[in-house]
Amino acid sequence: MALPVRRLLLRLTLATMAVVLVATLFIRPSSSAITYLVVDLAAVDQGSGAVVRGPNAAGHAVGGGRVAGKHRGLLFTRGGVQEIRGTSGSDYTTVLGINDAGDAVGSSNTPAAMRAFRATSVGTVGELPPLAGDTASIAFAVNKKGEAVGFSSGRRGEQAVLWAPDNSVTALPGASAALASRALGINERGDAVGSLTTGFGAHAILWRAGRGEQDLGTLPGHTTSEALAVNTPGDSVGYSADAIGGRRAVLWRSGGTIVDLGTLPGGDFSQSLGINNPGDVVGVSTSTLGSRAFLWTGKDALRDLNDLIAPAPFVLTQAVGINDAGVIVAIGRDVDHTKASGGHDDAHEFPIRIFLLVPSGAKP
Amino acid sequence: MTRERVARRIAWCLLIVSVLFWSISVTAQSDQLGQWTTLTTLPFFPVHSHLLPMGKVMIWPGDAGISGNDPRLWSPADQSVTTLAKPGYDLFCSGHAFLAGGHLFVAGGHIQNGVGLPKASLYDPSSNTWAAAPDMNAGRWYPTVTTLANGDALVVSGFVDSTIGVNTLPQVYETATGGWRSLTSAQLSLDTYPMMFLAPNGLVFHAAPSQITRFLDTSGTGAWSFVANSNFGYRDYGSAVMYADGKILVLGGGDPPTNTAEVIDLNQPSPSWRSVEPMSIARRQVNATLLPDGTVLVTGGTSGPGFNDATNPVYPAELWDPATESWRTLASATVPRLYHSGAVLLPDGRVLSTGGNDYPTPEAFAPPYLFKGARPTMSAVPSTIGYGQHFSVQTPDAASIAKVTLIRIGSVTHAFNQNQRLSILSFAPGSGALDIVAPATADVAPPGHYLLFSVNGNGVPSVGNVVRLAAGFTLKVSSNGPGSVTSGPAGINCGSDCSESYAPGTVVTLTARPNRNAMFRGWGGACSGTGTCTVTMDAARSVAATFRRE
Repeated sequence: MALPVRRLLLRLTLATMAVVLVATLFIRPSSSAITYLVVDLAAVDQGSGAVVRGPNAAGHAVGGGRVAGKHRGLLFTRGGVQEIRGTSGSDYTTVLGINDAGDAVGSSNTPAAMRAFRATSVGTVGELPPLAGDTASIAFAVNKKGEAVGFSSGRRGEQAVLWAPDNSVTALPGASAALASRALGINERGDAVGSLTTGFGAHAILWRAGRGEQDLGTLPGHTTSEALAVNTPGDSVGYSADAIGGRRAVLWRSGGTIVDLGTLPGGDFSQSLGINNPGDVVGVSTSTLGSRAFLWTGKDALRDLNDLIAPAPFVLTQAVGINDAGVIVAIGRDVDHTKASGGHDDAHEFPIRIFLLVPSGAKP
Repeated sequence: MTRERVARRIAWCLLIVSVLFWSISVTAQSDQLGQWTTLTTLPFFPVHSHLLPMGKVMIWPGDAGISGNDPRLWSPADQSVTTLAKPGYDLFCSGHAFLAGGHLFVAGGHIQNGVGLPKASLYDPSSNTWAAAPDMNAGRWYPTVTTLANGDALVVSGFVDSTIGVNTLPQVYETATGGWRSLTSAQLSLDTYPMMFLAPNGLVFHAAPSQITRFLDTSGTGAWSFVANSNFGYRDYGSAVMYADGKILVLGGGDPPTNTAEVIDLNQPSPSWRSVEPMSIARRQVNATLLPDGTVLVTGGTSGPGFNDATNPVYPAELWDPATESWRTLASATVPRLYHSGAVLLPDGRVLSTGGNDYPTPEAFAPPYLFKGARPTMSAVPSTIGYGQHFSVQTPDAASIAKVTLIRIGSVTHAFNQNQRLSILSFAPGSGALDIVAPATADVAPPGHYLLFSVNGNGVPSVGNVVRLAAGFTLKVSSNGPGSVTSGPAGINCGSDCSESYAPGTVVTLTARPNRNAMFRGWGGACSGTGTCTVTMDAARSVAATFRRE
């Protein structure tokens, strides 16, 4: 790691630790309705295109953002921010998945192509190659067994693929016949989810381990859908969209039914981003207050996660994932910079703040 | 005359003399530094600005809780603002460039911060209507659109959302089919709003903000190739312009901001970046605008670190001269122009400087050339010109013209103008006219609308005329026997030059000139008879002229 990068990451780490300390001291439950303690993990430049995913069982999140003049792969922990290096010489690396063992996957640029990589917790980095004849690959998720999913791309188009722990690659069923396909999530059984595009548009797909693809369908009246995450019982989450692009957060139960999770009050857009094995779903929904992070536990409607934390000088705008302990990774921004939102929020020149929400009491 | 009257007259004289001196002093300063004028406050701060082929500026907002589904039309003549048709979705954070016919092609848009729309649309300025294109493969928030040589539009980058990241698939909107061609062999993670240019070799050059610079071959399923590393490094929210055919200047950007600038010449067999004199002040969130005389105007930005340091706005404009590769500091603006500001060249030679979050009051910058004497005038400028075509414009100033430039109309957002580029045209002065040669190929200047300027020896430009550069039709002439054929507009001089490409709709008059002791026998092909041959170039044409010795 170059010295300036080390220095920057060290500063980021120290700042993060200080913020964590402050958050722990001052963000305390003040009523029985408050169920999460907020840990401030990091702040990343909004304008540079930040990505945040996770958490794994340890509460670690991953992603990417600009640090010291490059878009770098990043690991966010309570102890600070570290760089996860992809392919050497890359000018753009993003980490998109992390498993409970701490192994991460993502993509890096070569001078002329994008290649998926796997970075292990002990620091080795290996390329996850595209299918034979293709030029590019990207990996979005990895499970504890080391199976990773993503897509390979070349003259035949984008094809959803599975990488075995030895980095060998195979196309997922149905991928070669589709106009395009990609796999975005994988569970511990090896079931993968994503989307497959045919002449009728993109549909959410479940690839059960060792079996063929299953079209998860859309909500009635909708035309497209995509699944982003799948838990071990086989429930999947993502969105279903209408012909003009309006999205609704959905849950596809392993039994085959599709559940419209709705939106927060006043919202017209929602999308599920993560699900854990108990079946809790997190995501983003618009509302009368703007974009807000939501939690859905199956008992009632979407809950605004901002209502489940102590009053804070920031607002949680997206919840990107939840682990089996109920720990949530959320994105937010300082509330001071928010104005009335007839069209959209007024904050995107300000840093993206990344938080860990740790359950502090009974589940809501 | 009473003493009182005398005193009053003296006072008036003094006042007039003072005003004259002040006026001379201001003009003297302005011809060196230019001049800023504060304009009427707009209904919002524009984030996206486009000079439409009609010469007015289309603007739309975003941020501050204002939806981008609200384009307006601003008139340079009277500063009036009128509403325009709405596309029905939020255009904020889209990418855009003009297509060959003058439609503004808009890709992507805003769902929420960091979440892009997969939509694309075409705006027709002549009818004030929007038409939807098919959706792209996924959302794009902060994409770049580049018009290609065949008139198609390349779209790259743009954020899908904060969990998928950037859209890695370049796509080409094909105007012939109205559909998308995905460059699935060219998947790459590019920074948002990458600075892309169609290069003279037909490839698209990725100039910034990353340090690695590349060519993208947009044929088939696409392919990237490495070109060179730039010298400074990551220039996010710097700017870049193609200041001459295949020649690119990048400047500023980075965090902390840099004042450095560098150039690359894509006409070379192995292009490489070369540092040039830096600006006097470091800037990011900066705009660069091509001017009619071939110089590059840099306005606004912040010199402070961080994403958008509002405490260190840069007010002075700077001017880069490609002949000397040096900078000159010009007059200072009065309004900070930071994140979400824009600048666009107007036909009258001024630069409209707009926006920046919470700054709805625009300014106009009159460059020094507008204070250096009378402007050349042009008339009878053709509305359409074809590649390689000779065309003529009328001007009483032909003898004083030193340069003719063609500047593609601007379409700017987020510190990068995705449409502007400049070509210097060869020309020959005639009697009360200029014979000008249009760019040779669409790789050098993609089809569409440009401002045509003539610039005199003092560097003073004419008012820009909007011309449409279009793929032309070829007129082939065969001359049989002892004689020759010439054309008006120029281009055919057969014997020696018997083929010329003319813009669609051009009316070409052919004149047969028999040699001494020969006579013209008549036309064949697209003309007949023995009189003057007039051909309307609405298709490829062939004409034969037959001469015979007497």
